[in-house]
Formats: sequence, structure tokens, C-alpha cells
Amino acid sequence: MTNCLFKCENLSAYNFDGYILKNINFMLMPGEVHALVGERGVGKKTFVDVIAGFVKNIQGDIYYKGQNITSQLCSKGIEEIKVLLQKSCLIDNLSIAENLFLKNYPKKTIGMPLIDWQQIYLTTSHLLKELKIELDYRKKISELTNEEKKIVEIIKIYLQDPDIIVLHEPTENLGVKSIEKLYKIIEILRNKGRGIIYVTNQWEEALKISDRISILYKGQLVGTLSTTEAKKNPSKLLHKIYGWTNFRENNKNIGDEDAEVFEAVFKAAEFLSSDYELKDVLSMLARYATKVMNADGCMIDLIDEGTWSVIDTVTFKTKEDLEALLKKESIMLIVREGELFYATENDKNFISLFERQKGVKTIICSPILIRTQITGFIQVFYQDLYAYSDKEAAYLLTLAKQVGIAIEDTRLLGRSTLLQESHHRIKNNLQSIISLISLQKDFIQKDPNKSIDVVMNEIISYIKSIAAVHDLLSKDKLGRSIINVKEIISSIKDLYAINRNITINLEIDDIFISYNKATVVALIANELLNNCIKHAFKQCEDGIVNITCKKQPKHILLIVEDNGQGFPENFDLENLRTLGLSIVYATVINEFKGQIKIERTRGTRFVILLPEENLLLS
Amino acid sequence: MEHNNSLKILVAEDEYLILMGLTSSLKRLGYQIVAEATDGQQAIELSLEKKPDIIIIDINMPLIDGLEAVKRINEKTFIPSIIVTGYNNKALIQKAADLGVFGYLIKPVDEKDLKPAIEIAMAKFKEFQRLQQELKKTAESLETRKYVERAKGILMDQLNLKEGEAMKLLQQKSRDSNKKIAVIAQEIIKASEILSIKAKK
Repeated sequence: MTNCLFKCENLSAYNFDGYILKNINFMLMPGEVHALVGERGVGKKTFVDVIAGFVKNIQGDIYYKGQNITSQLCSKGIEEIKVLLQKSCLIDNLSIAENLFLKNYPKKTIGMPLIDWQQIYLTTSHLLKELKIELDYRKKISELTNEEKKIVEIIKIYLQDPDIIVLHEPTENLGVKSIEKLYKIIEILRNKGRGIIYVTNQWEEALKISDRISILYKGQLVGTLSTTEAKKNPSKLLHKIYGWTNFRENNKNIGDEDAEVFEAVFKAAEFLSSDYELKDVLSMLARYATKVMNADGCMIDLIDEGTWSVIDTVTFKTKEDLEALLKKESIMLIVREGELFYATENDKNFISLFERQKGVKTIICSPILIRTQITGFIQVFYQDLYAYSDKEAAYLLTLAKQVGIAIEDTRLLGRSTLLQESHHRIKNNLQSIISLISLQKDFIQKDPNKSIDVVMNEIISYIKSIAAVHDLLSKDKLGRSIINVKEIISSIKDLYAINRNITINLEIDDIFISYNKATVVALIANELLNNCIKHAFKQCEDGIVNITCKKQPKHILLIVEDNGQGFPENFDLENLRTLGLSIVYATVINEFKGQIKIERTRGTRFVILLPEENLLLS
Repeated sequence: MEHNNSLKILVAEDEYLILMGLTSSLKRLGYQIVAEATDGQQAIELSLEKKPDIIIIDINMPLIDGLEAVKRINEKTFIPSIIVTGYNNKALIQKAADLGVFGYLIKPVDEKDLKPAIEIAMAKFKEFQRLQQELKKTAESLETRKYVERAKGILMDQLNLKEGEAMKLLQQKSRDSNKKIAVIAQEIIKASEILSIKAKK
């Protein structure tokens, strides 16, 4: 306290608009560079003006070396405190030397007091040489560039050797070399034990030159950090500058952060060369990403290039009820931008980016590309406002590339095992056919009047559906073993293409499912469609069949309806007399654990609800 | 054909259509289906609950695969199992053999494949149970023998008897107190331990 060079106690400044500064408590020690940072409009200029003595309406006290100088500031001014304002105070018509000595002309007395110009020039040229500044001291200010003018201002203050120097945006107009010189001057002054208040909105500068940083926000001093502390954790500083609350006190130093990033990258490489399944690898990567990015969750989506729809998602969340599901359009937009995408609640269009959003205030995303093809999307989200560091950004981009490699790897592996899988697939399909025939035998026993023809045709129809799915698989250019429901139903529809006056309308979402589920879906679609065509339109009327399949939050909804004659009144789903419908019923209930009901509308309407976890990729 | 004490079977297969086909075939063969499972977890739970005589299970199933499920079931109760799968793969077949599976069928299968496989499996299982019983008995008598030898040693040492005499004494005690000779032997050993007398080896 006794050593304190400069002190403000509960300093407030106001004008007719209100308080510009409120209860500022600021201290400057000798030999210290104390920076004051803040955004535009928080009151930095006012603070400088107060010290310069331009502001009359102040409350509180200002001390210089323990002495209260509050009133003196406005009236007389203090010699020992010099302020470098943003605006130039040089006189254009005078030379550099004259401006430097404006108030302190060295005098010599030869009879009358005269200005000792020789002394002036000598001192000036010495000074300029010492600071390695190449300026002609005889040049007039009006001939100088803005940069040179600023330098002259700085030298002027230096010359006066005050105890305290206040610099307001000193690097404005200065080039790199000049800034170096400025910092050198500041060093010299610091070593002499002078105190410097460095006021700027460039916090990066403050980090470079100061010993302590105080942050001004909305007219109040919201914190003071040592520069070492701020350097280790710049986001903490930023949080105070921008006024973000809920700052997470991560007790991590930058050194630790580096180590963490490296570890995460190594681990990822380990996973990639392991035998783990793609989904497990992605889960682990999502978990690591969340940790390294200090996030509350991470989602990795696999995207189908053709339809831009999400094939599969791997999510890791630290809290269950957080949600940040982006709209398809948003994803397309982000991918087109190409790079890291960052959005917070403060952006006006934040909410409109999402399909579903809950509790998330910041997202950082990156597309995952394999060569130039979009193959996925990675998104980290936070429940607070968050500013990422350069390292974190680099990490996320690297991670995206690694995920891309993992996916490509799996595909390559997939293509080579696809052949083996095909054999397995074919055997399962053949077993399915045997099942159908075996079950058909049971049904014939129950209903011996059924003609062999009809029975055989039914079996043929089933085999065709299974073949249709197989055909789709063989056509997949990327060698994947996933199938789009839209294409399945479309293929099934084609099986009935040449049917009299029946129009089949499709309204199907892009939904990707695994191969073995695809076969069953094909069978279901086939059976229901067959049913409509056979029974509903027996009377040769013009018929319409509408098939819709929509993706809902937790279900897939499949509706097949016709406008023909409906089912008879006493139709009982559970004791069905046709094999096909009984298979549909059994698989919906037992394999998919879903629901099925028949409604009598203008005709018949099958409504099937399948829980998505049992249908989508397992 | 309906058998009276028909075998109780659990079928585990994730593709329901195939499961239905298998069930239909098995029923026609006269077996009883006590449970159906569509994933490994369910297979384990239902097996332990319904205690089928035999399990027919696919390898490729969600949650827990078929081989792992068989392993876990057998850890609790040994139930004979037959694998029905599309994978014709040396490593898997070896793994199944190591787990004690009684049959490995490659799809597609129908009644003509299932029937002999089940019959052989059940026969093998009976043999297996018999051997287990024998093993148990042998182990028990080995235990008894160990105790008797030790007790004999103690008696010979303490009462200065010859081997034949010690044995006779043991047998007599066993008859008199109506306890098994192994029990008497253990009591003698315990007593000598309490009195800290070392038995001659």
C-alpha cells in the first residue's frame, strides 16, 4: 500500500447519460505495466480522460504515492503523470524538436532569457540515436506520417520522464518495427521503476507486454489477472472481457492442454488400427473429443453423399437431457462452408439451425471428408457460451480427418469382407425361403382348399422380394451393406408395375437400414401391397394405393392404404388365414417389437409403427 | 407324430422369419418349443428360466452373440446346444467345439437336418452326464482314500499298530458309530491336530 504508485478508490465518472465508470478500484505499482482491457464502449477512454484531468464529474479518490490528487487532476494537472492520448497533441507548424521541448525549453541567459536551440537539437538527436529512430528533428510535424507522429508523441512523454505513463491504444497507427521500439521504451521505463498503465482493446497486446491485466466491462472493473495466469488460460480472460458468465474453472494450464490433445490424438490412432468395430471407435473418439474440447457432448454423424441424409449417429453426452440435432439444410450449409463452424446463442440464427435443441448454447462443427466427398459430420456442443482456443480448433479438424480415415478404413474392410458376408447373407436368404415353404405347409394343412397355384405364386412373390433387396445391395457403388427403405419399397412397387388400373403412390423418407432388416421390410411391403391389389380391387375398379414411410423422433411409421373394399367386419389380425399377413404380424411384433393395426377407412389402412432402435443400424 | 415326453427346445434366431420356419419344422418333428429368443441376452435369460432340454441357436445375434450366450448359460447350468448358422468358418467351428457345443449346422436347414442333429446331440449329452457322474464318484472316493490313509498313519503312530490293524480299527469304529469311514478318518485327523501330534508320513 505504501509502495503503491497510483491508486483509484471507488472511482466513478458520470455525465447526463449516467455512470460511465462505476466504483473502479485500480492500483499501479512501481516498475509495473498494468494493462486495462475491454471492448469498445466500456469506458476505457473515460478512464484515460479522468487521469488526464478532462473529466470534472467524478466521485471517489485518486492517489499518487499516497497523496490524494483527485481535485488537483482537474485543476492543475499532475506533472508526474503523463498521458498518451489517441488524438495527437502535436503542433503541426513546429518541428519535431520544438514539439518535444514545447514546455521545457532549455534556456540560456545572454542578457535576456533565450532558448538554447543548440541544447535542444543535441538532446533530440541523442535521443533519436539512442532509440535508433531515424527522423530528422528539424522536420515539421505536418510533414510526418501518422506513424511518425505517434512516435514523436511517445518520445515526448519519454523525455519528460514522468513517474506514471498512461498509454491509450499506443499501437494504433504503428507498424511492427515501431511497436518493437515502443515496447523497448516501455522496458526501459519499467526498469527505471516507473509505472505504466496500458489501456487497449487489444488483449493480445496486453498479454505480450503487461505484468497484470485488469478488465473493464460496462464501466466496471470485473477482474484483475496476472499476465502469466491469463496466458495459460486465455479463455478466462476472454470470458471477462465479453462478459460471459458461467465460466468453467478448468484447472488446466496450456501445458496440460497440449498433453491432453496429444494423448487424444495418439489414442485415436490406436483405435484406428485396432480391431474394434467402427461404431465403437467412433464412440471412443466422441468421448475423447468431448474431453479435449471441454465440451458437454459430441455427435458424429455418418452421412450418405447421395441423399444428404444421416445414416447413423454416434453420440456422447455428459448430461442426458442435452440435445442439439441440426437440420439437414444446416448440415448442408456447414459442409459447403468447408471449415470449422462455430455458433453460439448470441448469433441471431442459432435456434433456426436446429431440428431439436435443448440446453445447448455453443456448437462447433466440422465436416468429415474422404477426399472431396462428404462422408460424415462431427459436432461438439456446450451448455454454456464457449470460446475455443487455436489448439482446440486444430484438434477438432484433425479429429475429423481421423474419423474420415476410420470410415474409409471400414469401407475398405467392408468391401473385402462383403464377399464373405454375401455368402452368409445368401444362406440366410435361402433359409428364409425354406422357412416360407415350411410355414406354407402348415397353412395348407389348415386350409386344404387353397389351390397349389396360388400357394406357389405366393412363394414366388416372396422370393422375388428377397431378390429385389439383394439386387439393391449389389448395386451400391460404395460397397456398403446398408439399404435405403425408399429404394426397397420402390423396387417392390416395380414388381407390381403391370397391374391394371391401379396407381401406387409413394411418399417415403430416406431411411437407411441394415441388410437383414431390409429383407423383412421388403417382405412386409410386398405382402401389404399384394393384399391391396388382390383383395381390395377384386372388382377391377380403378384403385389407388398410398404407401407412406416417415421417420419420426423415435419411430418409423409405415402406412399402406387403399381405397378399395375393406376387410370383412370380423377380421382378426391374430388368427390370420393367409401366411403372408401372419408373417407380417409376427415379424412386426416379435422382431421389431413394434405395433400394427388395421383401420377401415375408405378402404383398408395398415398402420405399422416400428421403434427405430430395432430397425436402424445395429 | 406326437411324443409324450417330447423334448423341450429353446430356439434363438434374430431373423424372425427364419425363427418361425425353424419352430414350424421342430413342431412337426414332435418337439415342444418352450421359448423363442431374438437376441443373445434373451437367449440366456429364457434358458435359465425355462430350462429347456436343448438349445438351438444362431451365432449372429444382437447384444450378445450365440457362442458367448452358450458359454454363459453353461457356466450356470449345462444345457446341450446346437448351432445353426450361415458362417462356415474354421475358427468359429473350433470355438464352438471348445465351448462344448453338440452340433454345428450350416444354413439352410430343414427337418431332415434338424432331426438327426438333435438325436445325436441328446445321445451325446446322456453320455456326457454319465461320465460326469462317474467322475464325481471317482473324485469322492479319492478324497475318502486320502483321509483314510492319513488317519491310518496317525493310529499306527499313536497306538503302535500295524497297517492292517489300524485299518480294522477304523472300520470297526465306522460300524460302531454308524458313520462313514471317511467321516471317522476326518475326526481322527482333527483330533490329532488339536493335540498337535504329528502323524508319520
